[in-house]
Amino acid sequence: MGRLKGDYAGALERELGFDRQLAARAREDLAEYLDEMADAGLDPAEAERRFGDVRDIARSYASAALPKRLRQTLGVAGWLALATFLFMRWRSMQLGLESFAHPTLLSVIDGAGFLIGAAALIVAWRRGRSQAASDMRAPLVFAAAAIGVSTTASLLRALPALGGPDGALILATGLIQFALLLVLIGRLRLIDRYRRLA
Amino acid sequence: MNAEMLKGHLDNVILATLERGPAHGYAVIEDIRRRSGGSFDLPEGTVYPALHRLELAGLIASDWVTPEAGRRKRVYALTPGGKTALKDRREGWAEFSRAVGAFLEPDKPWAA
Repeated sequence: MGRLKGDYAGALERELGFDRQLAARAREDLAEYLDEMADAGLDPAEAERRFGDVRDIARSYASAALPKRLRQTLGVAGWLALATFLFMRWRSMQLGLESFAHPTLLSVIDGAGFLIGAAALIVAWRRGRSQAASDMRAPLVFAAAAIGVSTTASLLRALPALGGPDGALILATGLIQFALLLVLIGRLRLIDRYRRLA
Repeated sequence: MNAEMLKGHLDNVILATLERGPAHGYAVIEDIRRRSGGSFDLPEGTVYPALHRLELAGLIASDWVTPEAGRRKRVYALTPGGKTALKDRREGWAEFSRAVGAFLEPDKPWAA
């Protein structure tokens, strides 16, 4: 039984290797099942057959965890949108970049990118609430791209002030935004691993 | 009944099983097998991810329990949200079953 448990658990953990928490959960469940089967005196090979194909079981775990992971990713995207909005406003006010009468190309890209990104996040949130959690990915990717463009435009607008007294803060806010954006991209790539398996 | 037919209803079957009281994963599998008279030809391992899915959805909760004589086991129980969901799904199923039955049961008269 020991070797069987090791082989099967190893294969299951390899399939779910992109999510250590989920892999550990699957291993615990498998161990409980095999222990129960051993207590019942069932042949290990029969226990494995009854548990099911490793890939099918891994697929079930991935699809079970996907909605929650998508909602967590939406949370990261929400923080990114909030940081982008607050820092964008702060930079505009601090550096006197507000000029609605004479918008520049960068200010239009900055504002429009943020609004499009925020709208995409609302779409993702609504899909998550309507039990269509797996459909959240596309608007999340769109939101990440739009907010990324907005952040870049916003920082390009503030570039001339980098050497001034607010330079360090401008740099810090930009780094925070890009760090959040990288976290979001990382999570979206992880979501793709779930989707490929599920 | 083949596995594909049951898959769409597995969550409901598990919720109904746990309505009788908290149970660990293998006890849920045994209860499903016993109550279905062995009709559900489903790989037993698929019950665990379904339990995990229901837990993530907040419909069931789990806790580790160590009996006096025996191994530590993860025991699942319905949450208040799970009880409400089961009630809603039962009503939905009854309605669906009536509607499909009107087509599939040849002796049943059509509703006026």
